[in-house]
Amino acid sequence: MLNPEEEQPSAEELQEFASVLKQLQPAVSEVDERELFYQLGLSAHGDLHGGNDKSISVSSSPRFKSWHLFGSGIATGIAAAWLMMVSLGNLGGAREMPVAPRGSDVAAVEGVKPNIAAVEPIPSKGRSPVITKDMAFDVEELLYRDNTYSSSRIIIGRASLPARMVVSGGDTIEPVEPTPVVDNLGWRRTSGESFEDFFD
Amino acid sequence: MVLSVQELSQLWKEKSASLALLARAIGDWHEDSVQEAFLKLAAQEPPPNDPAAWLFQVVRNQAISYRRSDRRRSEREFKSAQQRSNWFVDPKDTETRIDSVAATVALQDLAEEEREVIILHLWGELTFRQIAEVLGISAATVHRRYQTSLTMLRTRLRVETH
Repeated sequence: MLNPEEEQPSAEELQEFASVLKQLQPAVSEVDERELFYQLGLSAHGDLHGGNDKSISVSSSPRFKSWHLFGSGIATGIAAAWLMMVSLGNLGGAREMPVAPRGSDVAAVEGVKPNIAAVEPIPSKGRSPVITKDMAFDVEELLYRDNTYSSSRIIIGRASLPARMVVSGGDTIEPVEPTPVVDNLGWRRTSGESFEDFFD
Repeated sequence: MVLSVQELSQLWKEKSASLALLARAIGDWHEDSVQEAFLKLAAQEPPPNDPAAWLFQVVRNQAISYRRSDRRRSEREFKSAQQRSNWFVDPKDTETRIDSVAATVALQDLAEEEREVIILHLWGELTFRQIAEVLGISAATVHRRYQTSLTMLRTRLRVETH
């Protein structure tokens, strides 16, 4: 307690004392910063992801988490059912779809509209169905196109693989000259998908 | 919209030590309250207008809650644990004329509401208005407590400061 007989300090004296007292540095928190950000699900210091607009969203609410799980389950179920329907429809459509002879560049599509004449053949070896620019699609056509695109991607990917390292003779590894990229479809690889996944 | 990682990291660098000091001064020397306050702040959407004052308020509430709920720890153990700890960095590492242990003891001798005001203003760098909001009292009361507490501390630490 203050002694009433003691002289009261002036405002300046108090301010000076406060500035001296403030020089004491509080002991550093025992909790490491990295531990905090690991708790937040982030990397140390949070700057490994870069970007000033990077923000985090943490929801610790159990109710939110349970709703999130429930919603994810429903979405997964719907997606699985849709895939099953698509697969069944695809099988049905495939039965009706004429098959192009292997190695042919001729369009193997019957019943399409007359303007199908504007056909651009795909100059690739192996099975290569034809894609037109203004093809009128119904559902089956879309499925068929999806299949042809998939096969074409494999073909193009095989032709445009970068220099792969192959073992020849003994233990030495020699590079193979890269094959020129075949991309007559005007299709560009924009995803992070690697073609090598199809072959390795 | 939540606080960015950079903002959180900056707040941690600037305020974690003074938040820990407040937690120690109230009685939670494990400092769990500091970490929990930051975790709560990261989840705040939208973030508070004054994140620093918000952190001090949450740490204070959390530390008080811990102290009340910790039934295993007796009052005597709490006091002895407080006495053992030094709330400040070793004076050898700082250029100050005040002994850190003596300052710790002097602060411990203050009433809790006086101690809070001193810590929030000097080391938390909150204004009297911000402290008033954190403690739920008027700014005039905060100012009066601050003046009284600082005078008492000066009296206790006079030898070291002169």
